[in-house]
Amino acid sequence: MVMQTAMPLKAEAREPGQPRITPLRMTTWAMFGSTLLMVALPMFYLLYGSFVQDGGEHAFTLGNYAEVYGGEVFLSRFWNTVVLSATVAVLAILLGSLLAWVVARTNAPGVRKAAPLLIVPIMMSNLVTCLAWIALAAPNAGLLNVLIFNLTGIRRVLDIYSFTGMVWVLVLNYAAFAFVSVLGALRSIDADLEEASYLLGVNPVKTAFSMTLPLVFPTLASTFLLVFVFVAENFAVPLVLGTPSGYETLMSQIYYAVADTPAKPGLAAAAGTMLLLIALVGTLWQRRIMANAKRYVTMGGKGGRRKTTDLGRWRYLASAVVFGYLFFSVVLPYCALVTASLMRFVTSRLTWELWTLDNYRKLSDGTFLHLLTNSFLVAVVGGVVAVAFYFVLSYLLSTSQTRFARLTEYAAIMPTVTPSILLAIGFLWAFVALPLPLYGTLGLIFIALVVRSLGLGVRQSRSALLQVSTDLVDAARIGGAGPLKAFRDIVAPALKAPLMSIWTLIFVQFFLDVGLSVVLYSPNSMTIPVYLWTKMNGGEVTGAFAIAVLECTIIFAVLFVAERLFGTVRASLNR
Amino acid sequence: MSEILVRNLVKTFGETNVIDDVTFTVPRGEILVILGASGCGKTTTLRCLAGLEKPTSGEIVIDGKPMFGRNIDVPPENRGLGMVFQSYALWPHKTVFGNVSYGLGNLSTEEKRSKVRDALALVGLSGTEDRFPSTLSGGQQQRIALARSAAARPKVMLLDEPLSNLDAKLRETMRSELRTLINELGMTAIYITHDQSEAMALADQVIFMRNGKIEQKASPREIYNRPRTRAVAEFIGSATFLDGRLLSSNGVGSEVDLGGFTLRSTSTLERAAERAVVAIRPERVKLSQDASGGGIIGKVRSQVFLGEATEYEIEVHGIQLVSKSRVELSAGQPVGVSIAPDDVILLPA
Repeated sequence: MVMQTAMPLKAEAREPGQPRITPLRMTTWAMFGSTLLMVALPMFYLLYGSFVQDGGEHAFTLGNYAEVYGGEVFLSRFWNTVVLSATVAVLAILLGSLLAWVVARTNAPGVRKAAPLLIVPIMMSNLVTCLAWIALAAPNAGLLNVLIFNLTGIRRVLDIYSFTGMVWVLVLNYAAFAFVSVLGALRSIDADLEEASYLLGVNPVKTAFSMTLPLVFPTLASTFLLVFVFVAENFAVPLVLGTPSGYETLMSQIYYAVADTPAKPGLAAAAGTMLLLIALVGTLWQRRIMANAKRYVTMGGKGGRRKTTDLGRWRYLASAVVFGYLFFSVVLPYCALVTASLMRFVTSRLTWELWTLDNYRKLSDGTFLHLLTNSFLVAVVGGVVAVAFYFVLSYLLSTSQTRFARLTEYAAIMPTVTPSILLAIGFLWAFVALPLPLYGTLGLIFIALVVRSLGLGVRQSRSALLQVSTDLVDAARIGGAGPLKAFRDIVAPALKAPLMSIWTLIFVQFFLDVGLSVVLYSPNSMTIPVYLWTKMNGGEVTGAFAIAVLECTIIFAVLFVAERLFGTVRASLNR
Repeated sequence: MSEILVRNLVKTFGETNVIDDVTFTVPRGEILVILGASGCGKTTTLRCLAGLEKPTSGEIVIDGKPMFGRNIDVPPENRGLGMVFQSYALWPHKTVFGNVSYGLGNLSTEEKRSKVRDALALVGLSGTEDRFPSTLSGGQQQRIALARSAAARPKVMLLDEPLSNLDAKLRETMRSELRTLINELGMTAIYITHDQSEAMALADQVIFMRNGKIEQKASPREIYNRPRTRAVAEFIGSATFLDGRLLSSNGVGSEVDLGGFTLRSTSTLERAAERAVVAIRPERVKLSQDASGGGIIGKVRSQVFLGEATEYEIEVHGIQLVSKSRVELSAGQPVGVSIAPDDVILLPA
């Protein structure tokens, strides 16, 4: 304040006469404050809980950490996690890059048209893919095993309950994710760069390694990191497919600590720090790569012309890879689920008595309607509220230069790198302690989901906002439109499509969530994936098929409508 | 009568004055070009005129109506201006018709159609009504942006570096078309650019801005021939700058000693001084093969053939002069140098 009296008026950023408390300022504080609080609360309780002795009175202990870092069990689980995650990440990137290269750079027939479909595997829950492959490749009764036995007489060729099985299911899911990122990177490289290399006498293969690979390397690295973290915090696939063969990961161990009685949430929280370490090391590594990547910025975003390689006869093989991937990741699993859901039980002996609609009939007693209502409340209504929240938040973050804003921005990333189950435990503890009637309600699941997707939501909203330049709005003002009319005529239509894409993404995240809901649900707030998970985990696989078919169908329908109305899928490919 | 009046305009961002007490007028039907390096405050000045930026203080009157002043701040939508943006700012989700007709207000569809047709004819893009901006080339988008701002026939048109995204050839064509268009429609225009040749070709009056201040306002010819400061002379055209000592200066002209030889100038300094800077445009340095006359004798150091002329570097008494001349000389050759007193520009040191 002394400053202001000592310096002339113009030194003030605030215009004279403007009140200190404006509606904008209050909204900003409210948004930043609530975001920070919603992130800090579960994190604090999680940290606190990791120092509390499980089962007893609230006694301080370092025992949880001693057990996690001192014992053999967790360290071997940690190593298993690293091996599984690294294997999946490497294979997913190899497959994803191959798909991206075929789509972006070759004359393989039909692949351009099929490219949008390659997004579908990302939108399929790995719970569902996992279940489908149990139907297909379970050692005794798996449909493929039955088929192979009938053709060749060899039993148990495929066994999904294995390390290979886990890798197979996860790679099918995450290759699509790698495909989308690598495709974006490949498209941003101007063909001139590669042609310049050819002109200097470097052959295409060497060019690919010395020119194209280094240019997409930052993308590959960040994709590797993301897939690695996704797999590391996945508990469903290791639990269902790994446990029977004795392959336990950190997440499955954490799940036991939470789900078994007596529960050991404190131990789980302490074990979670191992996963946070992975995320931390990965992020630091990625930072370094990104810092080095800055010198590539001149490569520009447009990439005007693109060169396609003539594959000759090999182009049919290239198409086969793309369509084969779609077949194994979407078509075959879906068909298997439908088939299995119509059977009384999955068996190798196919008879007429086997077929039934009972699995669906069982759901029509109101169970499914109840689940559907809950899932839709969370994903559709919750999704709209969440997108509005992310959008306003990212707008305020982009206009505010204060330290408070930067702090909020960092806080928004935290929940993304925290495994869902642990975040949920943090929320559980926080809301048991707080005198708010949210415990066990959909409301709490919704809040946790919003916090979990903060990073994704804010990042996506920001790129949407960048699409509306201030010039466009200014031009409308000059053309005679007031601020509100300009918003209605220019800003709103320009934002419609990107906002719908964000909503679709968030919808899928919320709709398919298991990790948070499985900790936070009560019988009243059970959702479709949680029901599916309890059936699968309880060994009632037959009952699970019908619900998986319905879950999958709903996702397909929403994607189809979003693509038809707003071109969402295509937009996410062309970003 | 002046169409645009700007008086004591100040715009402050934080502690810096982006616009520092700027005053100028533009008579009806004239084109004023504001020229300057990036960051000189020219775009901010234009945005203040448009109402897109709120000045800290000052007064803006357009067409006799006060737009900004004490307790007055007319919002941009009520100022009745046309504006062309550097980025074109065409709305990607609207067709060409939707873009051009947007500012036409409450007219019947039929009237809108005919006005849009006229505007598109004006820029030579008839029949593109149903296309989307993204399907047009850069030059075409530029024309649509122009049509959009001219469709409602505003009395005042503001143009913010409208040609800077076009390639050189197209820029020249558009430059002359723009001038014809503005004159035909009888509009008063303010045009922002950092391209001096654009300024020369378009302007009735040029304002050179630097550090938020107007450094000089003059006709293109005058600002070229009689720049008032070294910054103006450097920015507009090229020149050789030489330090000199003022021998005499009176109402008729001055005489400057450049060390070794003296030059006479018809210009004078505003304030009496001992030292001065002399600026000489290369094409005004006359060379002759005859080095025996009584004038200044120099020596050719180097030459670059430019096509329409040759650029020579001449050494005169240890001083380097640049000359653009059609006389053919070879390196090392002695040469007669003459500079008319009218072409010796005297600047404050």
